This record gives sequence, structure tokens and C-alpha cells, in this order.
Amino acid sequence: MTSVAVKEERVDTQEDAPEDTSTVDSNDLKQEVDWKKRVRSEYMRLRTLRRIKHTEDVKTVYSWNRQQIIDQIEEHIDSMPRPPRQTFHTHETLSHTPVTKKCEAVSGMKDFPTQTVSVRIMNPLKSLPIMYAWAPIQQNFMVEDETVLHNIPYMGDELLEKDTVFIEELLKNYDGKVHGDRDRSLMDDDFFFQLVEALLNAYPDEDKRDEASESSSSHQCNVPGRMIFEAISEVFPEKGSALDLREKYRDLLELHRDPTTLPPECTPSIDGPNARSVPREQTMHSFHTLFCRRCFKYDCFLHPYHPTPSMLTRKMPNKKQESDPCGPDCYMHVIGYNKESAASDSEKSDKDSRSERSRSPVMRGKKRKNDSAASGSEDSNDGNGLSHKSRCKNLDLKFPACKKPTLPVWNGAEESLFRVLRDMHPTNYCAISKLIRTKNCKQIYEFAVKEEAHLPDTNDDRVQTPPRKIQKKKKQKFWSLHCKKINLKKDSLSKTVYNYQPCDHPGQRCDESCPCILAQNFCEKFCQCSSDCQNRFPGCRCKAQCNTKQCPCFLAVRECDPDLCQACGADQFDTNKISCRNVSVQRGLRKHLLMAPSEVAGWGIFLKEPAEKNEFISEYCGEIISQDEADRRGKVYDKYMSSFLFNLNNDFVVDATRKGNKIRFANHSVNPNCYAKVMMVNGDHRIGIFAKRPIQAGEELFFDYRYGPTEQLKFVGIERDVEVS
Amino acid sequence: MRSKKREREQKIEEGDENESIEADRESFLQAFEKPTQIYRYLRTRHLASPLYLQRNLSFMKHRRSVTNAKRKTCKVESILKTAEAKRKEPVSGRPHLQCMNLVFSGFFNEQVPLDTNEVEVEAILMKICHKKRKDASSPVIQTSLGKVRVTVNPSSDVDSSDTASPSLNVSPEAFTQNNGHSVKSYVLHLSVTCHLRHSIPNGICNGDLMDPEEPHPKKRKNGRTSISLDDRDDLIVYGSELVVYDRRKCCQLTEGDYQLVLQELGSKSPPKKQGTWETVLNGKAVGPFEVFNRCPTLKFSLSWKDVSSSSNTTSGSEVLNAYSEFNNAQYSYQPHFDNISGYLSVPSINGLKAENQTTPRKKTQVVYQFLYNNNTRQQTDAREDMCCPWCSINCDNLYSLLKHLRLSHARFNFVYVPHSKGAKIDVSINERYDGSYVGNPQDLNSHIGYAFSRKGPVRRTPVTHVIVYRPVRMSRSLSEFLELETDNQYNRQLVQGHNRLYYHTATTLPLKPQEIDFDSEDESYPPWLKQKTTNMIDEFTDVNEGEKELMKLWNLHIMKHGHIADCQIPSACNTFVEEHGHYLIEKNLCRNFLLHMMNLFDFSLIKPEVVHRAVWQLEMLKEEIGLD
Repeated sequence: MTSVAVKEERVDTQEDAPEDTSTVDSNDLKQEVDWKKRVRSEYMRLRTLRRIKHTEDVKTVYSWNRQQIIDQIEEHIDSMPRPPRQTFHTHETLSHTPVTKKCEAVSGMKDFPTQTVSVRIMNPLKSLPIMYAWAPIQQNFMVEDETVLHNIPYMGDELLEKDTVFIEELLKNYDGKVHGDRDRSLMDDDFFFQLVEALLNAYPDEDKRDEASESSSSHQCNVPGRMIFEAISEVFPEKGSALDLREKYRDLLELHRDPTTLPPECTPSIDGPNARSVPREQTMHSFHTLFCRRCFKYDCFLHPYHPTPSMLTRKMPNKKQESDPCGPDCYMHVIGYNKESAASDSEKSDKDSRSERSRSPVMRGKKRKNDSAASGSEDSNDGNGLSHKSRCKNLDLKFPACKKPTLPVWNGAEESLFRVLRDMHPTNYCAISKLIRTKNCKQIYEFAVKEEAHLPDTNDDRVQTPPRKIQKKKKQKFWSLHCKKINLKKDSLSKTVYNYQPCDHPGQRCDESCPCILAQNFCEKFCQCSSDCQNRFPGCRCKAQCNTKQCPCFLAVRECDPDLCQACGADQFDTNKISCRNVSVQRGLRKHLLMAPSEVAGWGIFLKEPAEKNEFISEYCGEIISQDEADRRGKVYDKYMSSFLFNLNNDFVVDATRKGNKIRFANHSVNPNCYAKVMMVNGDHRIGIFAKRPIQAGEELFFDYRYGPTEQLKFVGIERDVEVS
Repeated sequence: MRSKKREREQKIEEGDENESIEADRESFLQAFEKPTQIYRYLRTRHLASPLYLQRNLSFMKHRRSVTNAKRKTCKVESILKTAEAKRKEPVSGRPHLQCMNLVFSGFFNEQVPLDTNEVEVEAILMKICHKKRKDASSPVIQTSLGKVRVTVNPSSDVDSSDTASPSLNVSPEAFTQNNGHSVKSYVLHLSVTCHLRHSIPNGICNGDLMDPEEPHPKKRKNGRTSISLDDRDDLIVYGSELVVYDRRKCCQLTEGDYQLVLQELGSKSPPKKQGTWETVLNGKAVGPFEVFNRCPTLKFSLSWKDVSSSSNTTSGSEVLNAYSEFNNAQYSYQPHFDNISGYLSVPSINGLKAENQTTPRKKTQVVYQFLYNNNTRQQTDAREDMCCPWCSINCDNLYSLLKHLRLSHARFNFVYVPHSKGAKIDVSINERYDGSYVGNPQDLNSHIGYAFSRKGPVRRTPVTHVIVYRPVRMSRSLSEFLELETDNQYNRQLVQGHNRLYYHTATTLPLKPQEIDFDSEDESYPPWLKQKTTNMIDEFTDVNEGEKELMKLWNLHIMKHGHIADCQIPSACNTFVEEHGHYLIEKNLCRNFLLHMMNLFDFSLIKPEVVHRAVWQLEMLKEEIGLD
């Protein structure tokens, strides 16, 4: 529906409206009809306004973007070194033909001389291949399946007319849903609120009368009468009954009055004035649920589901608490502290604590405004009462003295903070005091007693792990066992590679039911199982370059893990002179690539510096999509004859169409100079492109696109022709 | 190929040929005229501003005039000595010991008809002396050096070495006599006296010699009105001056062939007074060498000899001929194809080539056979020199000629056919020649909008560094020309590397040479991704502002440093405080930061010590600022 049509409609309804209002009193039935019309007309008006505003917004954003781009280009030009390097223009004697053509302007006027100028012929320029917009990225980016078709692909007029079947099938894949099609149900809370307000303002008289008649709802003077909601409910039946709408409006009204109020599920900032005293898990909830332990980022791009911390393996302070009080005011002076600690007997073995670790009440996952699909129920473990074996040593850090006097009154933020810190230093109130800053240890101790959370210190001498020697031996055994296993895995030739997902089965060993084992993956450091799990990959102990099958990492098609492989230098980040050559993907040690029109088809990518055999060229990056999504997208790409899909594993596909890096321009060849290898890099499957043979500078890069030996996909026209003939 | 056309026209006039031959000729011209003209144009341009690159070609080694033989013996210490020796040389009184020898080869004047074959040339030495008094003009002493008679418009084919050319010897004494005056400079004045035939009223007899388009009566009048020395009607005196020794006693006249432009004596504006380099004739600017065609010239060769001798001189240099051709701007030369003896329209053999050679020599003969119009052939006369017919470069031997033809004239195909008397070269049009651009790819785009923007040295594309290329060369043999060039020869890519224009991936704008070292995708996290992560965090409704702010900061920090391992996190915490500590304090995020550290601890990424250390760092920072 065009905006013009809408406007006309609006005019019509507005013309009708005053006519109807004049006959309001006459008939009750008519009155209802009248309200319905009013609702419709206001709805139309608001919608037009909204649409105009939206167009304006789009325009401003567009021009802002444009300016941004222009600024960037200018900045780029400015940043380029200028004085010593300038483009060199050869003299035009290089051109093949002399200037022979002339251009003449003959005037129709009398006595006006004919003007001539010689025409300079420029060399013909080949037109560049088509490129569709894409966003640069150097790491994969996971996106969700698309439930609506973004746009109906345009492939020329003739195809649209001829091949309607294709479009139909495409639409069928998305249940006929196309982006921007949902005009009918354009009624969110904001809009609803606006509508009611508008109706209220436009027709205040009837409303008041209405309200007077209805005395029951008079306690909220601003809530309009029943009539409006009844009318809205009739016009938009899917929005619920009039009473529901009324309630909703009341809530919204509250929200609008005080925009600073947070949604009830949100904890106020601990630094803010409204900080509340809440339990530990609530304080930490946002951090726990959003943090990605694999990317070290909050709400990362790659892993949609973050497991919450197990808190079992936390690196507890490994030094005993100093028995000395921290100062003259230390809590240790106050009471017979030592006596109490001696009486402690609440020992808990590892096993106990693990079994004790119960699933906490299900908490909501963090939800995004536009994201209706909240990520189900994530476990949030309460970490109370877990194994605390040792206390923090007092670090030899001289904290600056607190200048402000510590107030005896506890505020919300301090209380919450104490509950958080108590986990790390169960009884070391001196340490907590140092972190809280605004309370001294005595006050904290008193508070802890009040909270009834003061647990006496556990026995220091308790051993958590077997003696070191035994452990080492055991590890070695594991290692040799693993090497055998890797070979076994290789032999079994498991064609399918499944995506890795950290396993989380508390209180259970990684056995046949463990998802990692089922998927024939190793357990990684991200798994919740213990670090001596049998299924863990032990890492390598190479002292060489880790680029032969001698290296267990290389053999298992993994990159060396900087947290596991230390002998090869994979954990050394500051120097480039490490021996390990098996860390290129994770460190992004890609080659400089240059783009130019290909010698085969479309664009091509060329190597700037020469590369040796098996050297890492670049990672093939893109959006990570599910196999189903890839099937849907692939249909369109196949029609376009240009596909950037790359199978990652059994579950996911990398699509470099919308996001990618330069290597996406590498063409297919049956005799390529590069090869692709899907590697396990710190728990993620990633596609590395490597040199198949020594490649010279300036060579175009090719690799074999084919999925498998049988399923040959030919993308380049030349080769297809060769095959046919 | 105007000459051919003319020839054809003449034939038509004669009306003795049948239609088929005409048509055949037409198709011949159609095939070969355009490329030939293009190559001819290039040749003349090259002659006018030569590149001398021929000498560097491996198959043209014999043309190399400079040898590197001395390089091996050259020592740095000797450079000064030789330079000093050179400097002493002119001081050693060379001008006074040697005598000047002038050998006149001819007087050329096409425009003004002369009645005799000879003109009188008088050489006068003018000595300009220093002024003795202020008011007087510089005294000039004139001494006649002698008179000779010189032929007018000698034909070029006459070998001047055979006949005794008129010559003049100037003894060194002539440069020393000064009669008590200190001589400032010596000037050689050459004047040519022409005896004109008495004008016949209708002037018919001059018609042959003159260009019919020239407004000849006027010219003549011009010539007449100018004052001649002898005040006689039938005498025209031309003259010109050459400085022998200038004020500093430096010899300006070196040995060599001279072609001297003569001016009519008495004309109003002698060109040497002009301030510009452009030659002006009758108020009109003329081309650099055009003046040689317009004005009467005197050719002579000059040499300095210890003993006067009548050395032989070379005939007018070929270069000058080329100049005249170029400036004539008419492609009417091309002597080599002028006499195509016959043409056949049938695939017959070189039938009509029956031109008998008058002087059969041992030299190999080259015959060009043109193939066109489905195997129609046409042959040229046999040529005995190894000059390229298109660009008249002397290739000296057959191999070089063939190589040159193939490499420099790619619009044609050349196939060598051995012949009993020498060689036959089949010439056909190269259908695959596409004229595509083979130069620096940067130039294609960079011409636009960059006029005059160049200043200072510039960097070229990386291709330029491949200067030394020594491929394994096949031994030179004529057999390589027996076949047409094959595909792989044709498409050979000698330069491996960046011989193409690259483009920016984001904008598809051409990549400038200075930008090539800069990887546009060097950043692991491009700006849009940083924006994306902040946007994503902002979208949460149930995360409070403090948390959001801290999460964004942390994410950007991790992105900036690209942390990938657990073992990097403790140091990441420290750098985080170092870099963002002030911001944390300013935005009042310290407790959120502590929560964040506790979160890392909960995920067993850091030890409590790290938490303490980070908080301590922050506190120290606060202390520094003076807060708390």
C-alpha cells in the first residue's frame, strides 16, 4: 500500500468522523460504530505519521552513513604517505594512434565561427566484474535461521517472467513470508499507547462523560473509559479483550510517567544510587549469562549459548590465610577467632560437593528487545557452600588508605558486593574489606555473622588432589592412550564431523552419554568436566614446528592450544619466533591479499608476497549458518551462479556472501594452488586455506570447491564447458 | 600509401588494365594500407625524437655503438687525470695551431630558381675587436678567406666523394692577425652570391622547378626587392654567420657536417636576434626543422686539421632526410614498396617477379610477399639491404631483421621462407592483433583528473623492479621463423608478479601504488564489528546501564588486543585497568568492574590474586587523581 493511498483513506475517514459525532447521542449502537470508526481513523493517521517518520529516519541514517564513508575515505587518503610517492603518468606517446579526430561545434548563428577541438582518444577500460556489497570480517559470525525471506531476488526481468516456479518454491521455503509484509499486525505496545492517547485527546468530551458514568474505575483518573478499549478490541481482535487492553494501558502509563524505572527483572547498577541488596546470583546474573568463556567476551558473535560457570574449578587462593591480623582494628582481635576456626569440621569431599551442586531455580536468560526467542532456561549455579579449601593470602599490595570514614550502616551495594566476594574469600574478611573499600574487616565480620553466612574455615591440610608424582604418571598414561585413540579415530574414517559443544553433565563422568563422545569430539577446556577427564585432548609436547604428523595436534587436525601445548611455544604471544607453526588460524597470521579482476571469472584474489608450500594463506570467514539455512540460501545462490557457501561440519556451513574476507574471491579450479582444511581451533571449527605448492607473488589463488568426490559443483563457466565437451 | 594510389590513378588514366586487377589492388590496399601507415607514422616520430632503445635489444647487438670494454680497466683514480688532461687540451693553443678545412657539398635552394648550376661562396672572417673608446662601435676587421664555386641543388645520388668538392683551407695565421687590436671574437661569415637569369616576362621556364601552389610571383618579388650587394638586378646574395671563437676563446665550431640556413642579406629581422627558440619565418612560427626546407641552405663539412688536406666528406646525412620527410607531413616516400612489379589474383607462384638485377652481388636478397584476400599474393622487388621496410632500421642481418619484424610489427604475421637467392618473407595480416593495452595498468585509470599533479619523484608499480631478466635464450636460428607464432609463444607472460591493477575490496576503486603495502583487512575487528557488539549489548532490556557500559568496554578491549587463550586473561585484566582505568573512575564503574573480575574468577579464568591486583591498580589510579 502506498502512502498516497493511505492518505486518501485517512481523509475519507476524517470527513466521516465529525458527521458521526453529531449523531452520538441519538443511538447507543451508533455510538459504538462511531467509536470503531474513530479508532480506525486514528489508527490510519498514526500509521501514516509513523511511516513518514520511519522514512525520515531511514534518510537520516543513510546520509549519516554516507558521510561516515566519505570521512573514512578522506581519512584513509590523508593517512597515506604522500610526499615521496606519487602516481607516475607516462607521456601519452605510448598511445597507439595519433590525434586525428576533431570535434566541431557549428553555430546556427551567422558570423559565429565554427569551433573545433581535437579529440583525445582514451584507452578502452574493461568494465569491472559485478560485486555485491559485503561486510569485512576476520572471524566467523554465527547468525540464526531466517524465518522470512529477506527480499525476492532479482535476476533480470526475463527470469522473473519465465521462471515463476522458482520464486514460488522459494517463497514456500519461508512459508510465504517476505520481509516487510507484516503491515496488518503493526500494533506493538508503543503504538497502542499512542493510539489511546490520540483518541483521548481527539474526543475528550465523550470520554469524560463516559468516565463519569463508570464510577468503578475512577481511582485512576487518567485511564480512559471502557468505550475506547472496547472499540480497539473490536477493531483488533487479536489484541485481546477490552479489560486486558485496559490493564496493559495502565502499565504502560506507569512506565511513561517514570521512564527511569527499569523492567522488574533488571537489577539496578551496583554503582548507582538505587543499588539494592540482592542475592549473589542475582547480582552476577547478567555477567554469568552473557559472558562467553570461549571468546572471553560478553554476548559474543560466535557462540549463541553460553554455559554458566561451573564454579567447581575456580582457582581458589592457594595460600593459607595469614594468621596475623591486618591491623589494630582487625576482626581477629575482637573475638576468639582461632578457637572458632579450630572447631571447624565441615569437610566436604569433591564428590559430595559435586552431587550437592543442585540445579538452581530456573532463571530467565537475558533477552533482547527485538529477540522474541529467548534462550531458554540456562542454569545458573549458585555457588554457595562449595569447596573452599584455602584462603587468600594477603597480597603484598599496599592499598592506599581509605580516607573516608567507614560508616557502620550498610547500603544495598555493599551488601550485594559482600555476598559476591564472600565466595572467593569465605572467611578472609580482611581481603574482602580491601576489595569493598568502604567497610573495615570488623564491620564485615559483624555483617557476616548477622547474615549467618560465616562458615568456619575448613581444614587446610585436606588434600584435593593426589600427590603430584602420581598425577604426572597418570597424565603420561593418558597421553599415550590418547595418541592411540587419535590413530584409531583416523582409521575408522569417520566422515562426519560434528560441531563441538562444551559438555555439561554434572556429577557424571564423560562416558557414552556425553555429547562430546557422541559427537566424536574431544572434551575441551571449556567443558564442565574435570580437567583429568579421559576424553580431554592432552595437547602436544613437540619441540619442533608441529607441522608434521608427529605432532598429535597436527594429526588430529587441530591447532595447538595455547593452554595445553607449551613445549612448542604456542603459549608465547609476545614473540614471533616461536617454533610452532600450527597456530596460524587462531593468531590470524594471514597473507596480504590483493583483489583484481580474475583471469578466469569475475573477481580474483592474488597473493602479494610469495608463500611456501603448506603455508597458511587465510581463513575462510563468513556467517555460520545451519545446514537447513544453507539449503535455503543455496537455492538462490545457485540461481545467481555464485556461491560462497563452505561446509564447516555436519551441523554448520560458512556463508561468505554477506560477511567474509578477501579469500572469498578465490576461484575454483580442479588444478588449484591452495587447499582448504577444516581445523579445530580452540574448540571451534574453522576453515584454513593453505598453499598447496610454492606460490609466487602476484599469482591468483584457487582452491577446489568440490564438496566430495562425487558431488562436483562447477562454478566457473570455463571448466563446465571443458567437462561437457 | 599515397604513392600507390597515385600509381593506380595513373593506371586508370592509361586505361589499359582490366577490372579484376583493379579489384585485386583495392583489396591489397584494404588489407595492408592501414597498418603500414600506422607503422610509418611511428617510424617518422621515432626519427624525430629517437629513443635509442634498439641498441639494448639482444638481437641488435651489432648496432651497439658504445662498448663496455673500457669499464674493466677503468679505475677511479684515473678519472681525475683524464678529466684534467681533457681540460688542458683546449688551452694548449689548438685554435692557433690547426687550420680549418671547409668542404662544401652543395647549395640547396628550391624556391628561387637560379640560372646557373653553380654559385659563388665567399668565406669572410670577421674579427670583432674590443672597443677602444666608449662612443665608437666595436671595430670589425674583415678578411676574405677565399671564394669557391659550389654546385646548386646537387642530386643526392651523386657521391660527393667521387668528385672533388670545393674546399677552403683557413690557415691558423688568419686567426692571429689582429693589427694591434685585441680581438674579442672571430666570426665566420659565409655569403653566397647567386646569379639570376634575366627574368623572362612570362616566366614559363621556372614553372617546372616551382611548387605550383606557391604564390611564386610574390616570393620572387620579395627576393628582388631585397637589396643585393652589388646593386644589380640579377644578383641575390645570401649569407649567414657562424661564431668560430667566442669571447672566452672557446672554439664553437667543432668538426662535423653542417647545413647552414642562409638568409637573404638585407632582410629586416635576422633570426638570430629572436629571443625565443622558435624559428620565425616571415612572421610565422615554423617547426624545428621546417626552416631547412623553406630557406636556402648551404651544406659543408668542417674539420680541424694540423695540415690542410682535402678530406672527403660524407653526403648529406640521412637523419636530415628523415627530418624533411617528417616535416613534409606527407607519406609520399616509402621508396621500398614503390615498385611492386606485378600482382596476380590467382594462387600462382611469384610469377611476375622478373625484374632482372643488373648487378648481381653476393648479398642476400630479401623479397616480401604479401598474402591477402584468400591466398592472393604480391611480391616486392628484391632488396639487398637488411633495412626494415616499415621503419627503415638497418638490422644488418637476416635474423635480426626477422626478429625485429616479429616483435615490432605485431600487426603482421611474418613467415620466413628460404630462397635460393636469399630470403622470402611472407607477410600477412595478424588477425589476432587486438591492439590491447600492454602498458602499466596504473596509467589507464590514473590519467583521469591528474593532469599536472605530478611533482617530484614518483613510485611506480612493483613491476618495475624486474629490470634484469635473463631467460634461457634459444640459440639463434632462422628456423624459428619458419612457423607462425604459436599460442604459448604468443601468450607468454615474461613478468611474473603484479602486472595488473588491483582494487580496493570495499569500494572497488583502483589501488594506488602507495596503497599497496597497506592491507585494508589487517584489522581483525573492523569498525562495524565494534559498533555491532555495542549495539548488541545495548539491545538488552534486563541488563542495567553500568553492566552494559562495562561489558562494552571489556569487549572492545578484548577485540583490540585479540586475546585467544586463557593464559592471556590475567594480563588482559591489567592492561584493561591501565587503559580504561580513568574512564572507569570517571563513569563510576568501579564496583561493576569488581563484579566483572569476580565473574572471570567464577569462570575459573583468573586467580584471586589477579582480582586483588586489578582492584589495587584501580585504587592507585584513584589516589593519583585525588578522588576517594
